[in-house]
Amino acid sequence: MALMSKMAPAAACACRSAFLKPSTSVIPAIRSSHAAVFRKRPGQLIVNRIKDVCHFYFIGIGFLPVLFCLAYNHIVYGTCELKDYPTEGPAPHHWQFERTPIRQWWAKWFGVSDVEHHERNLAYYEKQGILARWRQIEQRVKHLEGERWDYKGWSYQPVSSTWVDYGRWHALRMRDQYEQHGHYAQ
Amino acid sequence: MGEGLVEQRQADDKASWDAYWKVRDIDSRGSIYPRFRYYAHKAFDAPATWFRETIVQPLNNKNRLPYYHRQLTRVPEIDECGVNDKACFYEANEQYRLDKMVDGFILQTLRQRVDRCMLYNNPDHSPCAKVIEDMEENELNFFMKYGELGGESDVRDAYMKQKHRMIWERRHPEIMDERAAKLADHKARLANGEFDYSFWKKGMFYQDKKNYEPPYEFQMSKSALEGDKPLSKDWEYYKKVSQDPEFDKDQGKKSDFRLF
Repeated sequence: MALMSKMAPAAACACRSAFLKPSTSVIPAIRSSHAAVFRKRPGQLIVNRIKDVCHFYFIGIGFLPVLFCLAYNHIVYGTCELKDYPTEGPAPHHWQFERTPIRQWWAKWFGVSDVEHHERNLAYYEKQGILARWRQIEQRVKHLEGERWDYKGWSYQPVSSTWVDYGRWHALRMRDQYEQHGHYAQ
Repeated sequence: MGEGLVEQRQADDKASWDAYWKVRDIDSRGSIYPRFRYYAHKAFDAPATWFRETIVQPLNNKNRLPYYHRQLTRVPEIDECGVNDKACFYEANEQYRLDKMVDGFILQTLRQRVDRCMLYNNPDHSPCAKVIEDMEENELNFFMKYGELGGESDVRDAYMKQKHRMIWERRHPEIMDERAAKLADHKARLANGEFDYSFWKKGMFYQDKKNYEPPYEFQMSKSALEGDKPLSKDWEYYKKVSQDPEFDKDQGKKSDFRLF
């Protein structure tokens, strides 16, 4: 390729068949030529970095782990089998009502038992019902107090059963678990 | 035999797959390009089949997980609940919601049957009379329980609707007797091979009295969730109807449209 280089005037002279030319006029002609010596191009650093980032996040830790999980699931577990309701032993767990292994796994470790949710709601409504009945009885008591002019004494202070229970609990803790003396190293 | 359904299905699949390759083997004998194509396809299939039958299927059979169909115990309905019993109402509402979902699925299945039957028997839909009858009857029953309540209805709304309908039926025994007679007549004619689609729906949607709107000044007078709409906005029409007994005796309650 040295023969074709534009920076070699002797080679250039030799290429121009038999006519000899002075080197002082050949080099300027080559340098003023239309042909490019170094061709300009846009930068590639940012574009390559974007490709690397997309390849890593979308494929490396996005698509490939999902593909691996699916392949592992299909090779090891396959599909779930619909069985009759078990007559012996404990009742089925809530995740065993899903019909694919992946959904069963997700429901087992990340899902919420719908039966537990239902029972919790029922317990909440039952408690609200109890409180409503208490409030009703309390209102009736107050109404009867007004009707019968049977008000409580002027020095009466209301007693809270919750605080009474808490005081008893605190007293028992003081009696049973309080350390009267410290254990000091002698 | 002692095998389960899964083993039977696997054996059937293997037998059919072997039969397929046997047919291809016999079919490509004595030829050049089809035979080499058979070899090429077999070369792709053999490792996959070996992997599946040797590694995958034993693992699947060993690790297969069971799943069950949920069985829910029925709880007391809304009519057995106390007025202030919120827990009982919550249970009844959950049951109502699940019943509505299941009934919707049943209706969806019936509609799919009608669509497939009409598609298969186009343009003569007479073989579909039975499935159309089933679908229309169930659709009417679904509408009687859940219709016109909106998406946010709860069990109390359905309960009140039922109560109001019972009261209305008790106040109009002559209408209910007429309806029962018409239904019996329709069933008798259906058993005799004569299917009248206009018994359920009077015609196409543009002839359906419930959804009819005049073409001029088209603005919905009531929500689509509401009941019947007036046939016309022309007051002179209703004046003629009230004065002249012979004028428009049908009042849009019949149609000449024939399904087949």
